[in-house]
This record gives sequence, C-alpha cells and structure tokens, in this order.
Amino acid sequence: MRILRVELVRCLHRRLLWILAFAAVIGCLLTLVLTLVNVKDTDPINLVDLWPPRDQGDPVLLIAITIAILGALVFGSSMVGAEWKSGTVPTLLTWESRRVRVAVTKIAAPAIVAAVLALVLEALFAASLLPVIVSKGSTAGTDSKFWRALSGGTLRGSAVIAMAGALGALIALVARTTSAATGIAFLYLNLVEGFLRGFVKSSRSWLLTDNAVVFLTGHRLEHGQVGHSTLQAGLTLAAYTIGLTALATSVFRRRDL
Amino acid sequence: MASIIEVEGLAKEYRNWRGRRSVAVEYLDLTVPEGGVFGFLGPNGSGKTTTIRCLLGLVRPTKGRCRILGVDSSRTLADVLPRIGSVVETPMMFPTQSGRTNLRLLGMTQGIGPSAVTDALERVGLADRADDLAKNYSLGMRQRLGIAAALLRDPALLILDEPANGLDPAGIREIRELIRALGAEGRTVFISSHILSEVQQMCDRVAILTRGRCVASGTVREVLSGREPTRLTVRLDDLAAGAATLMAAGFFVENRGDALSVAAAPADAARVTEVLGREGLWLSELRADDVSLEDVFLELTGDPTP
Repeated sequence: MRILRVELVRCLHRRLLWILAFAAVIGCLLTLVLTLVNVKDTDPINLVDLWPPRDQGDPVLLIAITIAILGALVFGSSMVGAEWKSGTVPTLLTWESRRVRVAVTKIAAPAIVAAVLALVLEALFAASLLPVIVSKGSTAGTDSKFWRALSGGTLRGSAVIAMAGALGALIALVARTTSAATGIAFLYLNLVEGFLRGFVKSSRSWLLTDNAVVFLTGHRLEHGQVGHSTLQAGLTLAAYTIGLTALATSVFRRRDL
Repeated sequence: MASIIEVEGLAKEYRNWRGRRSVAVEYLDLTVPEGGVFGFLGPNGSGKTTTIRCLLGLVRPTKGRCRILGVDSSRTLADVLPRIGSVVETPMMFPTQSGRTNLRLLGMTQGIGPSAVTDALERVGLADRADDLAKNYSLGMRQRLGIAAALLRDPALLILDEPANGLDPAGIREIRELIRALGAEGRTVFISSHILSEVQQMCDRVAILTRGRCVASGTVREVLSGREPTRLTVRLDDLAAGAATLMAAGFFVENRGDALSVAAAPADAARVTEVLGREGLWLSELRADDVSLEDVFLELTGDPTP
C-alpha cells in the first residue's frame, strides 16, 4: 500500500494532470457559454438528456466521457513514460525490488487518479449544463429510472476512463516513452480496430472500442453487431485490462535496467 | 571476516537485435568483507556498473550468482533491500520536484519520515538547496542527493557507483570524508570510482576489474606490495639541463618544477647517476617514487583511462 500511496502522490504532482484538468474546466465553461448562446427554446436541453434511459436518445455526458478517455490514455502513458525518461524507474527498484508490485502500482495509480478525476469532471460538465437546463429546458422525466441510468452511466464512464489510464501506463511500461505509448495506442485503436471492424465483422465482439461503446451506452450507438451485453462487454474490457497488465508486468519483470 | 557481498562466476552478456553478443562481465569472482570501505576499480566498460546492477537485481546475470547480505540477489533481494543504500551511475530523480520531495517520496515507500530526510540532506551538505527543483541541481548536487537517498535507510551496506562524479575538488574531499566516516561507523561502503588517488586514500580494500574479470583484490597494501616502483624522482640544480641530458640518453622525463620525474625502475638509478655525472650535473636527491594504486591499475589493465 505504501508504494501505491507514493505513486498516487506522484500522479498528483504531475503537471500534465493539472493541465488536462484545467483544459477540462475550460471546456466546461465553453460548453456553458455555447449552450447558453446556441440552444433554442424549440430544441431545449433537458436534465434527462444527460443520460436518458435506454432507447430514449444519446447521453450528452458521453461527449465529456469520450474526451476524458483520450485524456486518461495520454495521462497514463505520460506518467510512466516520464519515469523512463527521467531514469527514476531503476532508482525506485533499488527501494522496492519486487517488480510485479512496482509494475502493478504504476499501472493502477494513473487509473485510480483518472477515475476519480473523471467523476469530478463529469459532475462539473453536468453542472455546466444546468443553467441552460434551468433557463431553457426542464427537469421533467427525472424519475428513479433516470437517476439509476445517470449514476450507472457515470460509473461505467469512470471505469472506462480508468481502463484507458491503465492501458496508457502499461503500454508505456513496455514501450518506455510517452510518445511511443500514445502512438501505439492510437494506431491500434484507429487503424487495427478500424480495419478489423471494416473487414472482419466477426471480430467486433472482441474489439476494445466496440466493447467500450457497448459497455458505456448499453447498445445505444448502433452497435447491434456486437453480440455482447453491457455486462459481457464490461467483463471483456476487464479481461483485456488484466491480461495486458499481466503481459506488461511480465515484460517489465524480465527486463534488464 | 564475514562476507557482505559474494559474487561467484558472474557472467553477463548482452545481445543486440542482430544477435551480436557483447560480454559485460565474464566469470567474475569477488568477495567483499563486512565493514570498511571497498574500492571497485576498472577501466570504462570493464563491467563495474553491470556487476553493481546485478547485485541490486536490476540486471539478470547470464551465469553465476550474487549474494548480498547473505541472500541471493536474483531471488530474495527484497528481504535485505531496506539495509542497502545505493547510487547507480548518475542518481536519477524527478526533475520537476524538489530534492526534499524526491527523498520524501522514496522514503514513503519504506515508511521513512521527513526528519530522516532532513538529516540525510544535512549530512551531504544539501540542506540549503533542498527545496530547489531537482532539475536546477548541478551534477555534483545530484550526486549528493543520490547519496542522501542512499543514507535515508540508515543502511548497513552502501553501494556507490562513481560517487565523486561531477564534484569539484572541495566536494570530492567532503564526500571522501563522508565515505570514510560511514566506513568507520561500522557500515560497509562499496564504491566504484575513477579517481584512483581518492580510492587509495579512503579504501581499506580494493578489487581491480578488467574485461569483466577480477585481476587483483585485497587490502590496498596487499595489492601494492610486490610491485616495483616505475618512476624515480631526481633533484638537481639545473633541471632543464638534467632533463635534456636524460632524454638524450633515452629516458622519458617529466619536469615537475622542483624535480624531475624519470620513468625508470630503481635498478636504473645507477645509470641515471652516471649519465648526469658524465655531463657534470650533480644530484642532490635520487629516490624511487612510492608505488601508487594508479601504477598498479595501469600495469594490470593496460588502460590509461580508469
């Protein structure tokens, strides 16, 4: 636990985290201004639009979650990539030689920080829409079903954001640089998964992005081809994260430093 | 005397992506007794740092084994790591955090509090600059910070790889005194160093490594004993004339200002006297220089760059 605490403190000391958080706050303020200016009385934003119950439209909050996923990926890569760059990984290993423990905490810490920060930013994003909702929209339809959908969606969003942070960190643990890690992640998610999605239809149930969309939205975004339920998609994502963490840890454990 | 480090048949080879093999350490045997300061010497690329990395579990040996504080460093190092302080090459810290924060974060991994951090910073003379960002530290200050980190755990064994790297003469002297003091406290200090005169002054025992093998080891006196001096100090009134005469006779001579240093064995002393006397140059002093660790090092390694 001590080493996890240290890694969490290191995460909080990382300037990029606060730059991303600051950018997110600016984004929320921009959202506030743009919605106030652009939303018409004929097409208002209602509170229920944040996360409408199943089959009643796309959740507005998903915009913030998607951006936060990308931010978490970069943050996770940067956390570990910067350690390789500054050469502090061997220094830490002269203090804690159990490499599995070191690797797992290095992957877990950015994931935890990203998840917690994501919850705060999701709340901030929702709060930035409140003035528009109050002035031009309504709070109609905010029954228990809505609150359940909103809280479930928010938590699932944070889980996917945490997973993105972990993926960034574990790729950087192997690739040793931030740029290589983010490059590998984006190439894989865009090119490899894009190719598979387009040409090998049967692979869709196993793609990270498709499962993430299913897990987040519960089959809302025309992903009927993904044969997984929300729970199955979540388990698939968890299995990928655990499997890739084990792989990265194994490489890290054997590496000469 | 109990051994604190035992290296048996250690070998480490690296392969590049083409499969080309390079040997860093080749069947190294080394024993470091408990207590005192142990110097680990060798030319660049002789395998010193690789050996230290193997000892600290950072590198997996290809063959052989390393035991440190009685445990196999590739298996149960974690059991003894809290009793080992180390600096490997240039100490690496987080550049955007202060020296103090860097040490506090390292200390937190072992439950070490802020007062130990302050003590360690004071001990290495870095207390005044402890709150500056590490990226603003000079190389010498980073070395001190690394040594402070190594001292945080109040270690029984200190492993310092080139601790005087980047330090100015005053800093080298301070670190030498610190290392001596640490050795005198009953700790074992294992240092690799390029500065042979410093090693000779502060080490009780040394080992000399060349091409991945240990070619000499023992107390400094043991390593120096049996070696014949290779230089003579010649003092006379007219140094310039003396130097010219000796060089004309085939000697390599260095004019040190107050005396000549002649590259010659004690057995050549009679010939030096004869050559100078023939030209009417009379000696006021002729003596063989003491054998230094540097002479032995150069003789054993054949390398002018330790």
